[in-house]
Amino acid sequence: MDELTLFRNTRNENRQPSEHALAAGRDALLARATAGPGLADTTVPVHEAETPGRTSLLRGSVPAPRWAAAAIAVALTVLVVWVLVPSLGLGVYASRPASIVPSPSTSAVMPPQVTRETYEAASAEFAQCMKDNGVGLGAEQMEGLIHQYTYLASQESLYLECYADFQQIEAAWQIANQYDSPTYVALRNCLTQIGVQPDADAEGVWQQVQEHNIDPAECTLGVTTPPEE
Amino acid sequence: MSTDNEVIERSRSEPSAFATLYDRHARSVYRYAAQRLGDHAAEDVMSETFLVAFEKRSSYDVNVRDARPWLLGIATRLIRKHARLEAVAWRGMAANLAAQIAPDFIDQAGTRIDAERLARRLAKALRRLSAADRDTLLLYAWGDLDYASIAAATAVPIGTVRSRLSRARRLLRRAAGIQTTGQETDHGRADAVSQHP
Repeated sequence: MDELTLFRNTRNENRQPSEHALAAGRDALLARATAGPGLADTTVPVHEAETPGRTSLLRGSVPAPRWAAAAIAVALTVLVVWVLVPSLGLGVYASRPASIVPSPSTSAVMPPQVTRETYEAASAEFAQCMKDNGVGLGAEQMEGLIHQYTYLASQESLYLECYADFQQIEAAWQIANQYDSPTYVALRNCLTQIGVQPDADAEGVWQQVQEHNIDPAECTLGVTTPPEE
Repeated sequence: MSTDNEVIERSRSEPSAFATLYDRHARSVYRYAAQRLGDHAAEDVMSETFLVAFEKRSSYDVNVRDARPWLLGIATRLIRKHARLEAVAWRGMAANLAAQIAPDFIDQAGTRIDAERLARRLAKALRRLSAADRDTLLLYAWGDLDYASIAAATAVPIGTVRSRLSRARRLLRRAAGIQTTGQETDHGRADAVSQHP
């Protein structure tokens, strides 16, 4: 077995969307289709096709992408540390995940709205689950309206177990509060770094990210793009 | 039954016909997105992919019968907005990889490495791939696209797809501690049509 076969074998053909999501997606599409040709496009702009060797403005402005990304990450409550450290399994702390950059156009298929009380209660329950199993959360703080914390990388399996119940609620909450989510904070920082004043709303920020060819993955994770061969 | 390109062509004058494309491919788009992002975000990506596709249908090349590569290409670009959430999903993937690793692969990687550790290394390597290389790899592995379809999905020449996959393989092999041989197996699929319509 080689490495590509290995990855192909992890393809899961059994994953299915919920009937609710399928129906909501279809309804949204039909609503768009029947709205007529004059309807403005409200979808988030998608990157046009990449061309070989394309580099982002961000990368161009930062000579050492990984180092620079790490610096950004430190400023953003160790965004990158979480990405790089947990798999080492060295017992160091990993910053928590759970940031998403949702589309402003997908509210039609969002789950029922999550109130702050619900989010806080679910968050507390998650923290309690970890604690009950002997693993406290570290470096707890709020970033905007989003809880940030760390946990021991060696406790990954416990984390995944405790986080399972919290995940849906947190995702919905972050969609509702995306402008202050860690990802959008990172995107806003990337814009600021290249001298662009971030817009006052999430959709505007995303538009600016597109316009300035900032790679969201690179911006938020420190992923670098080597030149094409 | 109308082919995808016929459906898209018809939808230009009869927009609601586009729903046929949704019924045909929504689950496939979802599966690909769910493996990369998890279930919740995948539902958003699934829905948004078709909204974007609908808006772009006039630019679709109606000579191309199968729209799945086009749809997965759109989904792939949308997935980039979820970079951090994707990283969460990869952590879950490490366990899945560990279960898939065959003894002979472990042998290649070295005698004392266990499957779980090897899976962690591979998942970590995956995170370190460039976005373009990773998209290519995952369109191949999870999107079940052949080289030509990946080229269509990402709008790059097929040679670029080959070099991206080759680079991804090298990095994965290095992460696994396997010596790279001069001659690597070509994984291009002979079939031009995707296997999971």
